[in-house]
Amino acid sequence: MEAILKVNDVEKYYGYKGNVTKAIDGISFTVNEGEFVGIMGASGSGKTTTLNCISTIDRVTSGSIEIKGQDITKLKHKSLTKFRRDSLGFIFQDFNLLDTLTGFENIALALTIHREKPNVIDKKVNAIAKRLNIQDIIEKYPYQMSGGEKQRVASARAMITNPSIVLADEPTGALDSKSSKELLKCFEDLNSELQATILMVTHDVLAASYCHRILFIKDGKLFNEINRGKKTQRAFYKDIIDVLTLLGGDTLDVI
Amino acid sequence: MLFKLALNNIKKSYKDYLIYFLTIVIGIALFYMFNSMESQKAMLILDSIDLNSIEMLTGAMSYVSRFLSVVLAFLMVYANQFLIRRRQKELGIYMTLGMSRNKISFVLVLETLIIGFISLLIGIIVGIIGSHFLSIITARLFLVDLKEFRFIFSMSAFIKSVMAYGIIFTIMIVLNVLNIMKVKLIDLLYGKNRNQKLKLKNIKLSYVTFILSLLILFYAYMCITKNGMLQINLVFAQAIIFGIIGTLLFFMSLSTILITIVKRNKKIYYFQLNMFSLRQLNSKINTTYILMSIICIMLLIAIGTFSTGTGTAQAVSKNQLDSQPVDISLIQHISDVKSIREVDLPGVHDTFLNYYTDVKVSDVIDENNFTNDFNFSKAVYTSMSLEEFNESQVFLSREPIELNEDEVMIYYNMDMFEELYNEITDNQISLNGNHVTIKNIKKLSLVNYFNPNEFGVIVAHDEMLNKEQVSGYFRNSYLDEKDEGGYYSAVFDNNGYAYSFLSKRAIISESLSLSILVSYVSIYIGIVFIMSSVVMLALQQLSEASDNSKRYELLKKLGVEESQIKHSILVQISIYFMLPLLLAIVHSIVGINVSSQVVKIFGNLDILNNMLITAGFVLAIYGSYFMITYITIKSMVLNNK
Repeated sequence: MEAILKVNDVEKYYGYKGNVTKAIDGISFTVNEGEFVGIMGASGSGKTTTLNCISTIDRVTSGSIEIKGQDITKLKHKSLTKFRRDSLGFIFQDFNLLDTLTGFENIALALTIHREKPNVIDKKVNAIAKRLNIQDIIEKYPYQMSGGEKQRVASARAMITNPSIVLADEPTGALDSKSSKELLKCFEDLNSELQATILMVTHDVLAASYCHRILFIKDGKLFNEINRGKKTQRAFYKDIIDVLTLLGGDTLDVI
Repeated sequence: MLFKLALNNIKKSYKDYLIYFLTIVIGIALFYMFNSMESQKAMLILDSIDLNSIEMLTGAMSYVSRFLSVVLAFLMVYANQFLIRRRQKELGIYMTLGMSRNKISFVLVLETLIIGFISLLIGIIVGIIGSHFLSIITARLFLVDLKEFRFIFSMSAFIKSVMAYGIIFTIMIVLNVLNIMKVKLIDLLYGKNRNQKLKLKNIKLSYVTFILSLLILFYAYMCITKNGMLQINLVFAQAIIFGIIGTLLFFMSLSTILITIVKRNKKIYYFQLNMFSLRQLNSKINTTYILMSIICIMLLIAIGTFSTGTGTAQAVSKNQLDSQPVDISLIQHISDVKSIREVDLPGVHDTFLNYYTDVKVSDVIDENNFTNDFNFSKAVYTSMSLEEFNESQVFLSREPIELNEDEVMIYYNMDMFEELYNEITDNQISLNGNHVTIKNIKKLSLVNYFNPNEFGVIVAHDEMLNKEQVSGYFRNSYLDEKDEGGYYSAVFDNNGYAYSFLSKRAIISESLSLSILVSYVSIYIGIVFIMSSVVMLALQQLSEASDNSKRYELLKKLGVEESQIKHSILVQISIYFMLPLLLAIVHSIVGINVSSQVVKIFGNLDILNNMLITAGFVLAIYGSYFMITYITIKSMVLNNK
């Protein structure tokens, strides 16, 4: 299987000489095509910084990040924008839908930014809406939707351009448990049926238990990595909690 | 320390202050310019006679100024409130750091004072430069020579400006302090939770509203066109009220209509950020249509006063200066020859009489050609003998005319009759029982006049005239060059006889000051109203922009290029600025058409030229505020990293 994302010995320092905070301290990992990978860790462990570096919102101090063989840490401002547009899909904790646009238009916007031909836009949006089971609410405005519906629209927006990798930052953070489950089911479907590659940062053990593989980060370093393999979701859930216990008492409160 | 903080605050947020600053500077400059009118007379060749007119001008200007400074004061206070609202968080942080409310107020007072002082200084400098240009324009427009170019500083205008703006700044300071004293910290830190719910618009209802608004506007146009500007009655009131309602409904429904139409064309709707821009607009206009309507109406007032005002002034001055035939005319309206009062006048002179006839205007011109405002159809022509006419023509160094036995000619000097007298040459009329042919029609004046007011005098052979019924006695005089001739105007003597002396110089000087007055007042009102409306627009846009920056931030994350974001901002601001202007232009085209009928009484109006001058002014003010708004919003959106 081809590696979509290769993170090689990435470091990210904040601050000036003599007063440096190491947010990421030499992390390396690989995400293969069609994988559904989770990143877990306590607050301040560096997981969001890692995601920000991958999503090119932040720049690394040293090391390299390759996506489909292209080193994105070397890209200039203009090509960064283009790269973000063409290769990445984003799902945020607070949905980040444009409140002035309907659900349909929010999804279509991703395509118009892509300069997609106008006559295929409607078809594509309808197709993904059907897959995510949001065709009934798609003409509503975000403030008329529930949190789960909003997040599914946001997912549709992230997926519709067929990005190389979808980056999800605490997607279930603002959802109740029922909506969380529905959303994660959607992720599973998209992952298995469309071979979408998903990298998800999460606090939530339940959300993590849907992943194929989980990376644990502590103090800016890769602490552990567990594979789901053929295990049931329940068994995997237990594994995750075991690792979190190992990670330290301070993360137990998130369970 | 606090002074340093205040100074740094201004330096830091100078971009926010730009619009505010510009508004104050223009306001002060205008105020100074129009109040320094009195000092400008020194630059113009106008002597003691004309000083009266200038005094009248200054007097009138000070009234207009007072009204307009109230408008400007409101505008500045509005702009100031906007600025404070933008800085709520900063003030909240000072407060959490333990700065007392008194000290924060003190910082704000210092800031206002510094800004006020700088803008007053710049405003007055701009005003002094501007008033020089105003003098030059005055001289150009009204054909007066500049005596000499010299530096003029009007102390009284300076003191007035400082006083007026001192009061405005005091009001602002008091408001700011009050604001700080009573505000809650939590509101400062988190702002007012302005979670405006977007109204979902029923598309069908919008269509109905839109069509209704067009119908109502059309009805209002009909009313005003039929009724004219001069009769203030129910129809006039209808035109105004329906005009306002129509404008409101128009803006209320417009954006929904716009979006449904553009939506049909997928190529445009799905082109880059067009969808986003349109939706932004839609969400704003849904909540701000009242502001848009107010701005549109203010622009209408501005464009209307501006173009018809300067138009009237030009029409007046052009006519007066062109063609006063002699130095002094004596005119007596009498009913019999015995009551003619001989008046002793120096210089050479020529006299003639006018007689009543039985010819009505409607006998010559079709009644339906008149508008309601100026219906002359019932008026009766006077007449004059051919012999006296020719003598008079020769006296004025013009060619005499010849008429056959059964021919007459008509002379007049009102511009509005030029069209009406088209194609009536060779018509037959009955003059005191004689059948005669109108041989020709000439536009000329035999005597001096303030406004062209002669709609027609029939020149005929003696035997056709009704010499029993005298209507007027006229005497033209040329004065010796040395003779100043005095300054005469309408005079009533003890016995109630009305006679008027119309001296060329008096007429020129008076009409000159009238036209200066009219055009300056209209320019002043016009600029202030255009500025007020455009500042309101700009501030509204800026306050929206801080809410919008989150949306742009998201777009950037999704990979939208900066150039596309800039384009989207530009599209939004342009539409926002253009919509009220476009409707105001349509309104004012109708309005100016109607009001030019009024101006026609004074003489023909060069509409195109006036439109161009007006457009230039509007675009200059509008354009500069547009640019500043665009630049400010762009930097607000793109610098948020």
